[in-house]
Amino acid sequence: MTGPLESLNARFPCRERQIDGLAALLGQDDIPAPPVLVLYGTEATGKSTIVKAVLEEFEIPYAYVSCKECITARHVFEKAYTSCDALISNGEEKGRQIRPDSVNALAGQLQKLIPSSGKIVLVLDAIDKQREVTPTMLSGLARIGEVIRNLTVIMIVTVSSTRLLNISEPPSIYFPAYNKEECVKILSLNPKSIFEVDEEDEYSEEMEQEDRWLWAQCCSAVWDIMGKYAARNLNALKDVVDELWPSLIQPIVDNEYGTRDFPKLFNRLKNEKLRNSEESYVSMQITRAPVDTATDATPLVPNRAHDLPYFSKYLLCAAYLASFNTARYDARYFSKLAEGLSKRKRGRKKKNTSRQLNRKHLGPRPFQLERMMAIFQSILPSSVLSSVDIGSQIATLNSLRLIRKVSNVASATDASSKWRVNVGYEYVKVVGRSVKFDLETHLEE
Amino acid sequence: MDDDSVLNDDSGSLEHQACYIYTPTSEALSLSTPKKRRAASSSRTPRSKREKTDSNNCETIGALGHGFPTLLRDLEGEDAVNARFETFHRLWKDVERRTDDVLAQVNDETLQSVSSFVSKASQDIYGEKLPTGLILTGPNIAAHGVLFEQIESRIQSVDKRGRVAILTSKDSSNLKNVLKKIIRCVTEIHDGFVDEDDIVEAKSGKNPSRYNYDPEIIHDWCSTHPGAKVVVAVQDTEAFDPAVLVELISILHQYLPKIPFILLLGIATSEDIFYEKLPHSTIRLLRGDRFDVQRFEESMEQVFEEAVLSSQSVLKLGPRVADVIFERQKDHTRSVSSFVMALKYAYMSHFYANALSVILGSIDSEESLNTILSDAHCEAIRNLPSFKPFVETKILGFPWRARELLTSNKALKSAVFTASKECQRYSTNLAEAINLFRKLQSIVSPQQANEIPTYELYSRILWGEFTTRPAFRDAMLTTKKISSEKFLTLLTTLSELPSELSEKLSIAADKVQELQSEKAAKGSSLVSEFVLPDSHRTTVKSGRVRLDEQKSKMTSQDTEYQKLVTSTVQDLETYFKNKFKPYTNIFLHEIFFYDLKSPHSQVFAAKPRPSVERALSRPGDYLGCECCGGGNDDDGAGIGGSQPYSAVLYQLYLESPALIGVYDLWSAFRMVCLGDKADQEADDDDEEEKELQAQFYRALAELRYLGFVKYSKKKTDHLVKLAWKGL
Ligand SMILES: Nc1ncnc2c1ncn2[C@@H]1O[C@H](COP(=O)(O)OP(=O)(O)OP(=O)(O)O)[C@@H](O)[C@H]1O
Ligand SMILES: [Mg+2]
Repeated sequence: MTGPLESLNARFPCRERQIDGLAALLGQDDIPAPPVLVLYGTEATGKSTIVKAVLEEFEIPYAYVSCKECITARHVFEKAYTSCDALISNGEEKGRQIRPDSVNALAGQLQKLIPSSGKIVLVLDAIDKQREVTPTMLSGLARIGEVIRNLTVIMIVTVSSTRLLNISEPPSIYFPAYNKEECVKILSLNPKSIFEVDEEDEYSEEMEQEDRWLWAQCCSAVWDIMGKYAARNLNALKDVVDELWPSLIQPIVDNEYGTRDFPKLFNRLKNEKLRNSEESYVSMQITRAPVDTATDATPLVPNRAHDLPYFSKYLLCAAYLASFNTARYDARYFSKLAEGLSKRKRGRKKKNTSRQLNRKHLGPRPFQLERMMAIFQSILPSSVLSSVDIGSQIATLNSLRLIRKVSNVASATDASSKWRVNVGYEYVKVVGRSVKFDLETHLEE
Repeated sequence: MDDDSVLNDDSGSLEHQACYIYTPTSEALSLSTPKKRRAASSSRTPRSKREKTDSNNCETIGALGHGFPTLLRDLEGEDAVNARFETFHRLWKDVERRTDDVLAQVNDETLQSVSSFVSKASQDIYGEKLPTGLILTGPNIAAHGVLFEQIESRIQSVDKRGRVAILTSKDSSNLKNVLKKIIRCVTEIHDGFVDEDDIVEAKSGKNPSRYNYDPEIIHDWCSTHPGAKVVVAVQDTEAFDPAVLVELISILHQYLPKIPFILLLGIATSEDIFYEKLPHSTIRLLRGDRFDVQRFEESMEQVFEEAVLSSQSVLKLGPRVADVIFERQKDHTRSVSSFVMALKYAYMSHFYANALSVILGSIDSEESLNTILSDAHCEAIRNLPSFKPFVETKILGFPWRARELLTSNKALKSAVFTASKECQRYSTNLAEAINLFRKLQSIVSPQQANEIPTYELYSRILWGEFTTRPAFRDAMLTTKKISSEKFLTLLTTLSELPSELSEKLSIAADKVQELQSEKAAKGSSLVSEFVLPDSHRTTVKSGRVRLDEQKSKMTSQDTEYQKLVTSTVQDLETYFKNKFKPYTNIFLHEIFFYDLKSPHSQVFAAKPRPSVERALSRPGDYLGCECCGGGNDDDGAGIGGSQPYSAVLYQLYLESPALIGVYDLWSAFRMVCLGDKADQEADDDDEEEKELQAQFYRALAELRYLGFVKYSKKKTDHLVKLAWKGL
């Protein structure tokens, strides 16, 4: 005998307690449902999916609003109303559209709308992610269920606290994050297959077992190496596994390895695809399989990046130096006189003795444009008369957000306006190197 | 620049005025007619707007209405002036059309791949991820607008794949505004976007009306346009508020099941910077492809070939101007459109200020040349720097010809006609030879060809010194050393290009082919002595041994092949040396090559700050009066009481520290201005003293207005120095 609970638990393993709880609170015909119910838990813990599945399984009519889709609070109210409306009037034409613009208006309108008998559930998913929804609105929304007897408001949030709804102890169900075993178990529900299955070929029991085994192995191995970074939750883990799977099974398809050679397969994959940047791999790439295309294309066309104009590069270096050096020591680093140099050496020695935080870690500090121009002139191999071209390059660097204006002086190139460099050391270093400028030697330690 | 002074009459010269001093006397006002003043002002502000109006009206404006001045000390005929004007428009229109065609092609590859990405993007490929195209646009901001418009029209009008909404950072103030813009672009509904939370009425009765930022409106639109995609293109991703971008991506992703969104992101700097600015959770929602836009060097090369090298372009750039223009490109702008602007300016100033440019208008017909050239023109031609060497060469062979050139205008005119043909031939040959050389370089040493673009070689070639450069000698040397297969490809490719060598080269190619097949029959390939031994790690000695070995192994085919290589390379070298002669050798090169560099450097890179600083620190340079030490020598400059007050104050300002006490400044100022009298007790009632004080405050206000100082907030009666000289 398979009751609704059994089938739900089969579809969603590792969630018995939550499913039981939902069923107990909502699925009992003889007990009225609570006015408000809070489901909470971090990303991809099955909150949305499971609550919908339970409601459907118990055939409770519900209106579902995904608040992530809503742009404003009013938008939430509108959607809540129209979805309840659609649920009750079943597609009947309404004369005028109703657009509640506050929680109270929504409560009032819903009261008119909802018949006094029969259970109804309003699910507000990710209501805490809506920026315009304030705590008072939240508690107002939670009270709608008290005003309307047969309505239950289910709120799905990331973290729950007693102060959230301003109600003492609303019934709530926690969806904890999955651990490794649970993740692997859940993902193993739908393994991908190794070989393409044609219509004619039969998908044999044996093949299925192989698929299952390898898939589970792959999931747990990926969790092991990337669980901390790219595959922090179920969805992310699934993304990574999906991404890696084709390359993992390629040797099997090519008949190089057997299905059970998992360690070898995975090692090979690790060397090829992940290199040593596990954390940055999947999560940092929008483009698929960048490795393959790169190896093909490089010998033919040297894929050189787009270049900045010559002086823009120096301007950027100057901006970086102005942001990370202290103005006090400018003479030491940028003076072209011999005296400046000797001072600089002495200064370095002195600095080493005192313990200080590395400037690089403190972030860029604002500087005056005039100071940047002075550094610019001093690091140039041969000086240049400032012209409108220099000004427009500064403006361009600003619109590229390589440097940024921080003060609100009326004119952008006013000498006293404050600016800041907006890119990291690595980028500027490369830019500097392309004009044979060594950033490091001019940088304060 | 002295050479040019002959060509540039006073009225048209852009050269002689260091600055323009405005003296509004009533006399001056009454003297200059409105027409003349317009001419003068157009010379100073050749902005594109003016050009546009000019070119639009050129047909309707009658004689002299176009603003071109009468040159040759007013001896130039009216029809000659008109002819210059007309020729300028004719020639420039032609160049412009051809460059526009090239530029239209430039983005074609990118557009092609973006368009196929958009048409292919579907749920099957990207699943739950938002299809995203990263378009690496490069840092030339001016070109981005054009590119995105092209993308829009390609997807929307040509491919008819759906609608495109282009967003710029100006729209990124908040999510609501961004969504409103997208909705308006996609649905083309324009009512209901005035107020914050306006309602958009549904077009058809079926759909409800909605808030004006509700993406459901697009969903409604999609239901009436099945298969249409909705492309959201962010033109300047870097400047777009990252917080709004994150929200936007999350919304687009949310609606993806209902609306087939595609995101295009224009990235001007680098992908890494882009990734750094977005949280991982957002990046995880995206999946897609990367598209590269053609690099500046490549498009510049194409435009240069079409606009300058092509034989259809009659007027060429001289080496000095070319250097100015391309240096500015490299150092400052890196944008093709700014090159086109510079080129147009070269055309404009040539025809505007050079009376002899009229010759360019009638190079095809001797008759019209004869009629257009007046006696004054002939006199000007005789004054050309290239005329003297031209006549001198004649003296040796045909003294009577030389005399005729000096005395008879008729003879001179026919000489001009032949010389203009000669100039054209020179440029055609030059273009051919450059083309040939570039091809050779790209086969022989592609690395080098990539490094130095053609337009950077151009000026050296014109000076005639290119053949002595290492780049040239290297290319010739390596040509000898390449393998026989490569040599064969080289010969066949080069023989296909139009040049006087092509016949010779194709014969040589046939010969090599023949030798190669003979040798192949024996199971080996052709080698020459020049080919280096394969191994990289040969010492000189072992290398030599090997060479000897090789020599002994050489067959008769090899020897013949080697001879062929030697002679071909020899031929090529002579050919290049012949064609890459200095352009100054030819008579009339002043007309066919525009080479005044200072108009360009002045007009395109104005230097307001150095000018102001110079005017204030050395006022004599501008005023030219004796009292202010207007001498040319350096020590002539210096502070002096006779200088304008703001100049005096500025020079004192230069000598002061970052924080200036106003009283100190005043005492110094008083010292300078009063000279010896300053030693006397300051007397408050003294009229002179009072006036001086007023002048002091006025000068101070001027410095403040110019942005040199501001009042200190920390210390009363002190000024903060804001600008240092020479930055
Ligand atoms: N116990 C489970 N069994 C099977 N699949 C599950 C389980 N838990 C989650 N999933 C799957 O994981 C995915 C993410 O779940 P869901 O979207 O419901 O999470 P969520 O908690 O609502 O996340 P978020 O807080 O981001 O909205 C869904 O595809 C769902 O089917
Ligand atoms: Mg959810």
